[in-house]
Amino acid sequence: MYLDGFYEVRQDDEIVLPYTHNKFLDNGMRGFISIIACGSVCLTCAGGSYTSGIMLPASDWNIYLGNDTTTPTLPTMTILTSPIGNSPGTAPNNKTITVKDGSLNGVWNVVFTAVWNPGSITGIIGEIGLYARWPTNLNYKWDVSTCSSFVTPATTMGSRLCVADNEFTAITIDSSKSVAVNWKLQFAFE
Amino acid sequence: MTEQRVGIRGLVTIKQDDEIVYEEVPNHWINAGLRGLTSFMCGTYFAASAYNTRQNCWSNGANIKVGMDTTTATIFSMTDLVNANTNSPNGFSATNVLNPTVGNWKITYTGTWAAGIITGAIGEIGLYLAPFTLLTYGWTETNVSKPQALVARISSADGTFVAFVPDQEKVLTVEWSVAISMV
Repeated sequence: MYLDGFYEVRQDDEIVLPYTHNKFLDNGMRGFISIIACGSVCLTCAGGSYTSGIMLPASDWNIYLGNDTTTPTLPTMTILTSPIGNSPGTAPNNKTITVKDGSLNGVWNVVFTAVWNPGSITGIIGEIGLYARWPTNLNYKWDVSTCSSFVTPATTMGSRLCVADNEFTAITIDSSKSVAVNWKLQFAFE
Repeated sequence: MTEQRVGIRGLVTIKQDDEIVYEEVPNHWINAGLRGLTSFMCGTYFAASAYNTRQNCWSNGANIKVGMDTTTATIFSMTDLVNANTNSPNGFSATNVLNPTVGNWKITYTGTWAAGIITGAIGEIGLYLAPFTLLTYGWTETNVSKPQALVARISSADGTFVAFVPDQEKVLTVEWSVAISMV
């Protein structure tokens, strides 16, 4: 199967960048193989209201925008080169995730949507990144056995789209309009 | 415009003793695996709150099964082998995740059957894991041990290998590599 990621950018209802293939970074790819290797969770303390577990990508995610137009994507990148706003970037005003159940056709999508209100970000968009909590443990059957805590991976960039790789042409933000970015991740039978 | 894709590839190598019978036969990923990765992306946490009760996910449910069907091509909605052999591997193991080069990640599961255990023609082989299942944004799941599910299959009916009868005097080994890499 292919792991396809695409970004789409809209200003109000206008599509200013149609869905375009991203590049995945090491953190993202490692996150997928890490969860496949995962074995179990277990609580090791009795007698209290305790929980032991693994935090997953949607527990802390964001899409950030940057204005760099000269730095190609490398697998080892973990943050945007020049984010809009203070690092890691100006967070969207609203965000959500929608899932398309692929039971009937074997095509499964999850779409991360981030929306910035008019005027909340300015300048040009030259790079876009999806940040999430990607697991990092690489041991076969790695497990979480704690008295009362969660394994909480750092929130890092797992995919990027950039002007420097000729993936799109820099977008000048119209600050009178909202900016919406959709990141669609697709898994499909083939 | 450049375009980069990432492949999650399952490649199956079949051996009898040290002899390679088939090498790196590409699998089909089916719904349970596709759903599991979709679920992973939209989840908040997977946890346990019951003392000393292990909740399985993904690799704790890992297994490889062989089957005798030779006519049924793989489709996305399959939930089990068509005609699974009841003999589980005598030995089962896996590597840790390896990262041989930048942008390449791989884990390999290995099932081994002692000589003479599997009789008849093998026409299908399946990889079983215990993937996530929930699809709601921000799902949480506590004290649920994920069940084993068929996530990937190879079959002679797909034309990727020819059904074969194992040599009854040799050990049968199936190595199933799951690799994520840029393609």
